[in-house]
Amino acid sequence: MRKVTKRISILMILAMIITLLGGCSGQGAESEEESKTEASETETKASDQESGGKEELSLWFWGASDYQRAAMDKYLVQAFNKSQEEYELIVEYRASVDNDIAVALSGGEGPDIVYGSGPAFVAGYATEDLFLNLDGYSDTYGWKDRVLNPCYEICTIDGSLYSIPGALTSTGIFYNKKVLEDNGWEVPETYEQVIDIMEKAMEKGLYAGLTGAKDWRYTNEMYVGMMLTHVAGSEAMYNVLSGEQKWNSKEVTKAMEVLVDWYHNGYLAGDDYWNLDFNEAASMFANEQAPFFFGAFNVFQFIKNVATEEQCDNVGYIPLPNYDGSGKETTSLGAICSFSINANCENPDGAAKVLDFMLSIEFAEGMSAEWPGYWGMPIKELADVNVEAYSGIYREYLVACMGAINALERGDFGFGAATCFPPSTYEASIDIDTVWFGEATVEEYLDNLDKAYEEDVANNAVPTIPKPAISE
Amino acid sequence: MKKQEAKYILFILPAILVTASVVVIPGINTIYSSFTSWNGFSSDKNFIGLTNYMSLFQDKYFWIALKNNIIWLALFLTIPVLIGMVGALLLLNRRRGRNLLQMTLLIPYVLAPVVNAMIWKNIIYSPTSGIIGFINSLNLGFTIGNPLISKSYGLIAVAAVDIWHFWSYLMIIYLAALRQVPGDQVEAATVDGATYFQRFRYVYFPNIRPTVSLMTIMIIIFSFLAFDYVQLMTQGGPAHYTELLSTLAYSFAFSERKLGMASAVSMIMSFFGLIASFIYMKLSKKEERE
Repeated sequence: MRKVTKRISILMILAMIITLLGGCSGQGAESEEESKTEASETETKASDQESGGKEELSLWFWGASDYQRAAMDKYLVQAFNKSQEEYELIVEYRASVDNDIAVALSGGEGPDIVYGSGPAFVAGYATEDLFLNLDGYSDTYGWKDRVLNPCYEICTIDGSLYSIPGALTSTGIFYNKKVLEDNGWEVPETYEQVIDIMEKAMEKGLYAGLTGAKDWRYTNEMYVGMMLTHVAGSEAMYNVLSGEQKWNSKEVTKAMEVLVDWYHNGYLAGDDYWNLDFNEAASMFANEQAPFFFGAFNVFQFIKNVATEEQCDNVGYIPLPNYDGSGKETTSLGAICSFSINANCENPDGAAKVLDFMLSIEFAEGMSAEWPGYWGMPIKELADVNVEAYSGIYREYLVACMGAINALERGDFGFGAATCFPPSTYEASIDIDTVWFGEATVEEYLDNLDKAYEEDVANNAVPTIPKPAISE
Repeated sequence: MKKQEAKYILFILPAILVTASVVVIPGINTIYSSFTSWNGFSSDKNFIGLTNYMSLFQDKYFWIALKNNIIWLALFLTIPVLIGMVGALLLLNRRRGRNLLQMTLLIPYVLAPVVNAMIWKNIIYSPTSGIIGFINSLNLGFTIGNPLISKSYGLIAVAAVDIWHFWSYLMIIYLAALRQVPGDQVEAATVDGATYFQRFRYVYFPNIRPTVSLMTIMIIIFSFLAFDYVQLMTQGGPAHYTELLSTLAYSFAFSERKLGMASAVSMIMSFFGLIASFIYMKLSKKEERE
């Protein structure tokens, strides 16, 4: 009996070790990704030796999936490294890139090219001279002429450029063409039509709109930004973010009241807002469980992750029609991320070359064709891409980018929270769930935003706010 | 100083240097930062006195977090302690299969928190895909919501996962202590007709009291440092229902870049741990005297 127990014990030990290893690999596939990163770095270094000792440039990026890394490798790393002879770009994927960068920068370290969560992220670091002023490079490469004006402007501090904006993004409506067609619904053109379709969908047992904040409470900010852009309006939000008007104002109050109604009416995935993550919600959307999915441009990548090609072909995107019925197609000013040059970078000229490469149409178009949702860089040339050369979700993504570019060029834009709100204001904006759960009133929530915004002003953390087209 | 003593100092110098660099200096830095408006990367640390503490005391989310930490502490001082002790007592007299059971029960403890959190969040608590979803699909005349978003149960739901992961560790510690209890004392009590409960009350418990006290202090300290399960499962939300001091400090540090505020929160977390340590030292000294 003892022998049996001993054997079972040994088996249990083995099982535990295997489980433990399984647990390690389950950490968001981080360990696996890290080992792959190491492998890809080794490959890059090997090619570096072969190419005769180029200067290395480092970029830390978040822990992307396999197909995303393949696209990065093809259109950024390999393409850049082949495009010139002096520098070798090495991309390091890190699951906790935001925190890693914050810690590294505070210690005077970090990568040469600093990925950030958006232009608002840059302000604090730039004022502490942790990022290089890019005005000289902007002049050299003509970035000001190539980048959309509002996107360029929000990356400036006191008139100087400190980052280049990452891909365009705006929270709007992803619609399922098949669901609309099967139910005899047209693609909505007015706010009322959106509401009407959602109500009818719920009557039929569908979700009104899908989304989910299970893994990321910060999803709340997308809908705060969407309502501020399309209900409060460009002018009111420009005044608020410029400090000329309080957050607790008539227009913003109305926008947040509408958002509270949306939540309680079940338009945001009903009771499952907190039970779904974006992959699950995207899968349900692809499986025709809702006419709409409310999300930012990066939802394209979630849909690509989970849907079949046929399902992807059913997806379309439109901005939320404005609440005032103006019929203007408005977008949120949003950049999915930002890229800056570390003040301690030993090869700033090389890093600037990488940034310039990222602002090229070849890079933006190539990346968007393989990784839709994340690389539609805010460059004017993107509006001239021949979308007919693409199909399905790739085409829809490029069309969405073009719509955003046109709206930005016309000045019909509001302000995305993650891009345009300074840190404390952004954090306070997430607390809209306190209103949803009856823990605070809209007025208290907005008072809190006013307080947070005042703190940001005192800390010089407010980014430059571009002026939209405002009727005088 | 004698030459011999100088030699001894050389021996302990590496330990002193390591302790100073990884404990003392960061500790002092955190204390000082809590009185500044430091953003975490600026070279300047503006001294602002008690402003951070005053702001914290006026912040309603701080009080919610503190209350939640106290609830967390109360849960951890009772549930895992009771389950762990009962488990240890049951295993104590079980010779056959004890090792196997110990190892089996220890599996949640050795699994990475992220795995445990994902198991509970997606396989158990999820009303769309988990066990709760399955129960709801049976149409039993009632539906169960996601406990993680409940004002009343959200914190308990997260704590339950941490307790599930932690209790077997306590059991192992208690079992190890129980096995050190002199067998003759137990035998004497048994011969004298003591019941099982009386043997625990008058023989086992007095013998393992130092271990129980130490673990109680550790639980108090751990409870004020609890972070991973809340961050992984709810990020303190929704509506701050599951906010703890640690998640609040994390938001201040990494979202709002208010390292001064984060340091102030950390000081308050440490304060409770220090109280617990102080009580433990007093109790230890008292026991030594007795």
